[in-house]
Amino acid sequence: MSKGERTLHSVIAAAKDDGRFKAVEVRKQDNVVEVLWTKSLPAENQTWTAFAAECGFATGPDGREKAPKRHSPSVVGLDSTGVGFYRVTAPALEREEMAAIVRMQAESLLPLPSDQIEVAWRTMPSTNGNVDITIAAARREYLQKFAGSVRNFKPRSILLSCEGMAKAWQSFFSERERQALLVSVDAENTQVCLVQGGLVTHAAVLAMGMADLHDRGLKGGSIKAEGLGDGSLVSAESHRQAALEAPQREEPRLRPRDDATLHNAQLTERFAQDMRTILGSFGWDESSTWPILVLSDGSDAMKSIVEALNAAGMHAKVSVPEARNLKMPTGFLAQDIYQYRVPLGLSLIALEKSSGSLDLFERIVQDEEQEKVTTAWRSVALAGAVAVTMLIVLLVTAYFTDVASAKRWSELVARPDFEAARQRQAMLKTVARHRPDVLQLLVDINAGQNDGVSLDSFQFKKGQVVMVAGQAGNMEQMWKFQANLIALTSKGIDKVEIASQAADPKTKKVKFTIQFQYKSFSRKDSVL
Amino acid sequence: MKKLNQQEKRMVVIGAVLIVAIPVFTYGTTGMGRWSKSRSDLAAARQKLAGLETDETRQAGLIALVPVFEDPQPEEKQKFLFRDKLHEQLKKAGINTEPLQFVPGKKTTVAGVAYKALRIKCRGKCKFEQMLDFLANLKENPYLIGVEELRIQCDAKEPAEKRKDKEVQIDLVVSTFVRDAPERPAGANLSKNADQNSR
Repeated sequence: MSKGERTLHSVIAAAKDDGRFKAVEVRKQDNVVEVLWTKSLPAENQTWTAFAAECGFATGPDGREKAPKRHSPSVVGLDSTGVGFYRVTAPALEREEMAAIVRMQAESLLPLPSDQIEVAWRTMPSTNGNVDITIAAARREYLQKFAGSVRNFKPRSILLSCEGMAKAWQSFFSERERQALLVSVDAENTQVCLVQGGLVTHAAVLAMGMADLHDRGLKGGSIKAEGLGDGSLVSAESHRQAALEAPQREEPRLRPRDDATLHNAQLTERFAQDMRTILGSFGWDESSTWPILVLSDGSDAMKSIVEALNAAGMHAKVSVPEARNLKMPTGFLAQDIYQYRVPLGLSLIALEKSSGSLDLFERIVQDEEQEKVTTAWRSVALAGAVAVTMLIVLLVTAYFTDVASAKRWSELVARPDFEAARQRQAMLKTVARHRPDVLQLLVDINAGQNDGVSLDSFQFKKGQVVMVAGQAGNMEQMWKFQANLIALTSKGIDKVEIASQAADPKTKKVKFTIQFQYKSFSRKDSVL
Repeated sequence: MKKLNQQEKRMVVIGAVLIVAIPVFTYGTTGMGRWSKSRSDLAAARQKLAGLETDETRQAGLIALVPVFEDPQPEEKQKFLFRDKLHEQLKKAGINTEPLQFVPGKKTTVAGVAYKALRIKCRGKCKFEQMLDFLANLKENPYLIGVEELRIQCDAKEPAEKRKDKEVQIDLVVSTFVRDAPERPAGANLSKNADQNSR
């Protein structure tokens, strides 16, 4: 999905967050980030394809763009619910050696065979020459399916949504810290990320969201962790297990959010215990606490959650949107930054070309590219094979057709009756060529209105011009006779000339001789 | 089973190509030669067929011009056949002629067969209408090739209005083909001449 290193000035980022598809187009100019537009579509009964069309990435049924349209490059966020995070410590080594260590660690940690898992990792400096390695893992099949579903966006890269959220917090929210625990409470679940130096080093998803807390809290029921079913708290390990083993679980139903406060003390206590368990798995201890920042749009419900966490001794604070560094379109409020925090963060990562992103899709993209190349070669080879086959068939057909025709035609022309017929026809043609129609010539000569003209002699001889001698009452009658002969060009009479003319003193008539050529018989070679 | 390395695979591919290429070159050239011969035979046959007139209009024109025709015979036979038929046609038209004279013509070849033209010259007097009748029926002579020469001469001293019942002088030369006898070997002629001399 990466299409070369090109400096981006604007980017479209899309993600599925809080039960909705959300997308923004962001432009960066002179260090000013400007939101050009935002789009949102309920995820229920909708697909990425429909949302891509909504965002202007219209494609036909074959996946090709209907009408190529210029639009900004895009990035897409992968929901972290299908991704497991691990954190290991290893000695600081070269990248290749580190990769081998990660591979070994991953094989021992992951609950599935390594060929079914995609792993991405990055290191953070630690103490005593060691490094902390953050490993993100997801099922390969899940990633392939996701990459297929967002294909219409033609994304330059697919990033983790939690990284987008962390980036958005760093850029557009209050309470920025070098190291903090970010809590993002959605309708169905709660995303918890450990952010160090601007990068997510650990993440987990608590299967308890605003809707669960509110609805069940009001009813006084117990909270059950999604995927476990035993009513116990969600541990980071169990979350990872659930994420990897059932990453494509049914999408959470979208329930209307309101600002109702949490009334049930038992419920909030359980939520706090879940949080504490996750924090423990992240390496949190009471002596050196990290700030816990609950991302909020400023609603009372979030404040209640923060109060509940504080009451449980976790020192949580609310982090609210700040629009200082963001140029927003008309009607786009600070609360909307919260709503679009994930795509906003993803767009910033794409614009800044952050190299440290966890890329779970690297191998999948490589495989797809390889598949494309293989398919192209296969197509060329297939076309070549078909062409060669057709050529061979053509040659064979032509060969057998020619051989059969030659045999048939040769037999035909070799038959005695054919040869006799040919001889006879050739003879008839020769005779016709040498046979002048003298009678017709005489008729033609006398056919015109030749008043006052009487002919004395007619002389036809092959190889010579035809001579006609006669008498006319006057010159005009003679010329008229000549003109009538000239008009007989279509009858084969040509080059009509008066060879001689003289007035007879006795009869007072003009004696003349006219000569002309007749067809090909006046040529020398016509003489037999 | 041990997998082949790259070099071994290349050897197998080259071997396979050669196995295919050798018979292709061996039998392909033979086949090409046979094909080439077939094409030349076909072209020759087509050329022969092209000489045969199949257009109905042209055939009709040909028949109109040459309604009857008998294949030429050797000279000793053909010249009498032609003379007799011509004489019959002259008589039928009522034309009195002086004795007919044979005049030898040129040699020619028709569809690869050699022929020799033979001409008959005649001179006579007849009415102009008789002449026209004769010319109208002349093409019914199956031995006729064509009119080589025709001269019609009126008495120029007679006024035009008085010529109707007068006779005209005609000079006519018509031609026929006779089959040209193959030339005898020079030795045969010599021996024949020698025989005659000895007698």
